[in-house]
Formats: sequence, C-alpha cells, structure tokens
Amino acid sequence: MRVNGGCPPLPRPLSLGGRGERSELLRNIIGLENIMAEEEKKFERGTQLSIFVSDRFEDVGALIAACLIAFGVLLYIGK
Amino acid sequence: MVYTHRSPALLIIGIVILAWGWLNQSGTADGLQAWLHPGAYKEQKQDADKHQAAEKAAADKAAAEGKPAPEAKAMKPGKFDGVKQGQANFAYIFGGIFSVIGLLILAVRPKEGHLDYYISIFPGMAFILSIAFVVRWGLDPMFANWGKAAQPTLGWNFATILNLNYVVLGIVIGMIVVNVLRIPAWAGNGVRTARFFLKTGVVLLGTLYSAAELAQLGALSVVMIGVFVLGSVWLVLLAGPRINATNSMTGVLSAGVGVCGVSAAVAASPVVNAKAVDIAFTLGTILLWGVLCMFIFPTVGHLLDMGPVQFGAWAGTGILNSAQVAGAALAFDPNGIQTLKVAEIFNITRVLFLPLIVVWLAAWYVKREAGAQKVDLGKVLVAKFPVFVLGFIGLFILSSMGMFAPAGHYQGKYFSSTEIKEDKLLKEKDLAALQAALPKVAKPEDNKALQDLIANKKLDTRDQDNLLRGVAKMEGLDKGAKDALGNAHKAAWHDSKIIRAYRDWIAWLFAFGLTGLGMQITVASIKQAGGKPLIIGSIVGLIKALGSLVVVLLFVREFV
Amino acid sequence: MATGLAPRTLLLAHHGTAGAEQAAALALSLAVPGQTRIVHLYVVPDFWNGMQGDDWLNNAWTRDAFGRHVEGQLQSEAQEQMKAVAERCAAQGIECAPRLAYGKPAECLLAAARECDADLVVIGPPRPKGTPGLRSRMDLDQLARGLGVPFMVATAR
Repeated sequence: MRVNGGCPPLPRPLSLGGRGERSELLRNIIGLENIMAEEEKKFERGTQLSIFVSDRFEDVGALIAACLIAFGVLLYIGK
Repeated sequence: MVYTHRSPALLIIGIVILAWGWLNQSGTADGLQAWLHPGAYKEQKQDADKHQAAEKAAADKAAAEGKPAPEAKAMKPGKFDGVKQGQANFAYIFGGIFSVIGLLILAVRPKEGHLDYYISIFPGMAFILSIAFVVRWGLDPMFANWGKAAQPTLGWNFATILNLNYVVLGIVIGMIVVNVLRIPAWAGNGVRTARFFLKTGVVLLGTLYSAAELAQLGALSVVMIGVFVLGSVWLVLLAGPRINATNSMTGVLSAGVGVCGVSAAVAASPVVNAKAVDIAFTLGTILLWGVLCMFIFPTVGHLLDMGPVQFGAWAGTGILNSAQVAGAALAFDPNGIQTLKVAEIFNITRVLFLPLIVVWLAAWYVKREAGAQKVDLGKVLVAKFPVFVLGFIGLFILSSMGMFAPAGHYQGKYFSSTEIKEDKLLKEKDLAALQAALPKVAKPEDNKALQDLIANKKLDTRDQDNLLRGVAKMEGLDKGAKDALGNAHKAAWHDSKIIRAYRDWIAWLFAFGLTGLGMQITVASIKQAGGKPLIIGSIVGLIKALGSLVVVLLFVREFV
Repeated sequence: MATGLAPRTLLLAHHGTAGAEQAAALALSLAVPGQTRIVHLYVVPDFWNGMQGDDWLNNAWTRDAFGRHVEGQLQSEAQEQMKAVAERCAAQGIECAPRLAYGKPAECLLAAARECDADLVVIGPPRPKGTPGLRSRMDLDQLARGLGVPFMVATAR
C-alpha cells in the first residue's frame, strides 16, 4: 500500500509497465517533482513483468538461450 | 536502487538441492525413490535377480566342468538407476550454482549496477526451480501411484483423468504462492524470468519438427485459426453494439476473446482507447476462462480419447488464453511432447495473427469513433511482430538441415539401416510370410522393394520403407505379412538420444515458465470478471470451444 | 450540527461510485466553512498490479504502452473525481485537500486517517449485491478495528 503526502514512503508508479519512469498519474496530481527527480537518477531497470529493459531483448535473449542449449546438448550428447 | 536482497534463502535452497543430489548418488534415498517409482524399481530388481541367477548358473556350470569360474560381468544400469542419476546430475549442477551465488550474496555487500541486477534474479529462479523439482520429482510420481492404486476402487484413474501431473500441479502451486502465501521479496525479481524461459522453450521446440510435420500442422492451424479467430473477433464486433457496449469495450474484448487472450487484450487496449473498467472486466473474464479451460480441456480430451493432433488442435484453437494452451497441452500429455508440438504451432499461428487483428481493430475503431487518433498501421505491425517466432523458425531450419537432429527425423526417431542390430533382422517366420505375400504385390517397384527386404532381412533405404508402408496397408494382405513389414519398419527407426535430451529441456523450460506464470495469476484480477465482457466473452468463448471441438472430432485425424 | 462539534479534519473516501456520492453529500452536510477541512481520499485499488495476468507473448514496448495507457485512464478518472469533489467543497466555502493512494482501500484509509490526523471518517455504503462494478470493497471489519476516530457510513437510498 502506498499513500502520498506526509512522511510515508514515496509513492511508486502503478508499476503496470514503466521502466522506472514516474507515473503521470502521480506526477500530475501530487507535486513531488523534486523528490522524484532525485530518485530518477538512481539505477532502475526492467519492467514489472520482464527482467529485460529493451523492447526486443527478451525475444533475442530467448533465441540466444535456446541456441546455447541446442548447441550445448549437441556437443555433450552428439547426434 | 539495489535489487539483491541479502537473504540466506538462495544458499539454503542450493544446499537442499545439493543434499538431494547426494542422497540419490549415495543410495540413501533409495527407499523413497522405490516408493515413488515402483515400476522402475521392480523392473531393475528383476533384472538384477536374473543377472545374479545367470552369473551363478555360469559359475556352477564352470565348476561342474572343472573350469575356473568366469569373470563376473557388470550389470547395465537400469531405469531406476537412470532416474536417480538424472536427478543427482541436475541437483549437483543447479544446487552448486545456487550455493555459490547464495554465498556471494551473503558475503559481498551488493552495489547498485548491472551485476547486482542480474544476481538478484537467481533467488527467484531458484524459488521456481525448487517448486518445479518438488512437483516433477515428488508430487507427479506420487499422484500417479495414488491414481493407479485407487483405480480398482474408483473404476477410473483420477490422476490421469484430472491431469494431476507436474504441469498442472506447478501452475496450481504458483497460483497458491501468489494468492495465499505471497511471493517472498527476495524472489520477486527472479519470478519475472518466467516469460523469458517460456519463450526459450518455444524457440527450442523448433528443433523437434520435421518439415513434413510443420507443413501439415501449419496448414491445419492456418485454416482452424483463420476460421475461429477471425470468426470470434467478427462475432464480438457484431454483438458488442447490439447490447450497447462501447466501441472501446467491444474492441478490447474482441481481441481478447478472439486471438490470444490476455496478450491480445494488452496489445489492443491502447489502440482502441479502452477504459480502465473495460480492461478490468475483460482481463478478469479471460483469466477466469483460461484457468477453467486448462483444467476442463485435458479431462474432456481424455474422456473422448483424443489423440495428440486432435487435442493439440482443439486446445490451440478453443482455449482463449495462449499461456493456458501450453499448460493444457502438457497437462494432457506430460511425458511426450507430441501434443505440445501441435498446440504450439497453433499458438504461434495465433501470435502471427495478432498484429493483423490489432491493425484491423485500429482501423475499425478510427472509423467508428469520431476524434479517435489515427494509428500508424505499419508501425503497429512492426511493433507487435513476435520476434521470438523468427527464432523458432531459425532453429527449425537449422534442424531440418540436419544441424541438431539426425537428418529426416520424424517424431523423435530417425531412419538408419546400418544401425539395425543383428537380433532385429527379420526372422524365418517373417520371411516366409513375406514370400507368400509377394505374388499379391502387383506394382513392380513395390514388388522389387519387398524382394529386397526378403533378400536383406532388413530395410535399406527410406524410400523402400515408404513404399512398403503403402504395401502394409493393402487389402488382402495376411496378418503375418503385415506384422513382418511392421517389424522391419520398427527395426529401422531408432530413438534419437539428442531429441530425447531436447524434449527433456523443453519440458523443464515449460514447467519453469508455466509455474512462474501461475505466480502472476491473481485471484483479485480474476474476480474482476464481470459486466458485459463476461456475458459476451462467455458466449463467444463457449461457441469457440464447442465449435472447434466438433470440427476437430469430425475432420482432424492423427496424421503426423 | 453545532459549530462546537464540527470536525476539524474530515476524511472522505470517494472514488466516484453511487455510494461515494452519498458519502460526499453526508460529508458536505457535516462540514462547517472556516472550521472543517475535507481530505478527499481517492484509492486506486492494487488489483491493477495483476492486470497483465500471464501475458507472455508481448514484448516490453507493448507492455509499456499498455501500462502507460492504463495509468493514463486511471489518472484521468482520478483527476475528474478530485476536481468534482473540490468544486463542490469550494461552492460551500470548505477547504478541500485531495489525496491519492494506491493499495487496498481499508489499509489506505487507515493510513490516511493516521497521517492527516482526521477526527471523523466518512465512507459510502457497500455496493448492493448484483450491481456491476470493480471488485475492490472496503473491509469494514478491518476499518472498525483499526480506526481510532469515529467513522460514519452514509446510508444507501
């Protein structure tokens, strides 16, 4: 649970997608730009659903992993 | 931010997995394994007894003849030993990796950066994998045993009919974890790898298809998906305005119900400017249907005695949500990959339809909604194109060129005349039956193929095998000749070790991915099912499930 | 209500439903201009976290676009409701402070009551069974046990 204002933890975006971006929902309604700017400097990556930050990385990563397994098994067992 | 939680969890999981490996290696867990795998244990014990008796007989014979006792031959490792060794190897590899990284997490204070980010993934992966281990090595054989034990009393095997195998149990445990126990904070980051490993599994699946299989399944899936996907999208677009649903609600629902469930609704929502409440109703409805179908479809499949192609085609067309297609296919047929192979082709075809449907909906919405923003259709097509499907096609091409599997492999087997063992050559009885059948084979090339088989006692080429497969189906051929042809065919087709290894890897990747995806299905989101989307979605979902069942039962035969 | 009993800080839970409208009407009837400050709490329920479900086919671009879209929708709905309540308060000369929270309604209300030092909490009646709407109800039991101040439930008409 997150509540804005006062001393509670800084509200996070709804975490539905963004890559560490401050949600517009909270940006517009509450005036915490200063604290937000400070936090945006921090290292954040990935999305709520994927460890990959880039658009195609997950797909390309899956291809690389599959090739590694395919060739690894080929080397280990042989045809 | 620092992603890694300094928790001993990963180290503990690593040590427990390593300990399981040691218990298997040392034989300490034999009692438990014998209880879990009674069949394999009994078989191996019988083999051992036979081996001992043969050794003793040989020694007695040598003693009677006054010769020195022959040297004792080591027994080949049996199936039971294979099970234990396989688990020990797996446990050593993964337990070792997790223990080392677990130690690292405790010993080194993590600093913000990429290394910290990637290390933070391991505890969650270990969490899912440990569930997958427990389910696949423990619960799956346990339920199978109970199912068999209860069969005489119940009259049916509840474990098979209710699909209580590792895939279903993994997904159910994943759902229990997220809804009842909550995912521990240290595992949160790694749970998100589920999609990645599922996609890896799909890409790797490309190695298992032969060109003939892919051509046949591809054609069938394009027809079935074409009719049912386009049909249900059209049906929702037609029904929506009639019950006064808004254009955006109709748009997002048609994508979700028509194409591939949650993924399609996610892709289409921004395009049709769906309202928050429409999205919640639609996704709740799809998730509810998806989870129900995953349990109902395989049970119906078993009750109707469907084959892998029939069930794969039905699940691939009729289940709304694509994650549950893979789940249902593996639930139906957890040990072979045959049904998954069929269902995934349907899934991939659906995915390829997705960009087209999104473009269609975008155009439909812009036409009906004054002031709607125009969408760059080309950009949508490129952005929504599933790149991992290219990986699947790439591995399929490499595989069909003979890169990974033996050339011309078919359903995990390959043809080789030179590898036919002496004891598999045709026996006198078979040869006599074939000789008697020779005059009945009129076609000269068939007759020549049969003469060659009689002369060589085995098949020489794949062409010869193909010709004689046709002969075996001839009417008027007696049973002895048919059996002989069947024996010759069986002897020439060999199990491929590498294909078996790929199947194992794929089963693990899917088990991991689906358990992780189970952890992302929340009851709170399913509870949002409601409103008009629940009514339209349920009607169209039911029509699609029943319609595709009828079509599959009437027109689809086990052709691969 | 006598001026001496007028609440100084009245916490109003309101997110645009019919019940919430009744709560707003009750709050406005209790508030006294110049003495009462209405804190309008708008809760975005946290079931939205699970709303991408088990989507596994889309790439990051599509998922981000979906996330931004849903956030945009929720944002405009929240803004609309906050503006409406603020305008009604302004019309009666009552000070209004909007608050936005994301989580479970009862937990958010308890936290907000504590933080804004509310001396009265007003909520709407539970939605009648069978009425369509999102399933994210206020846990009245949790509220009754956790709140240290009086709370009023507007009656259903």
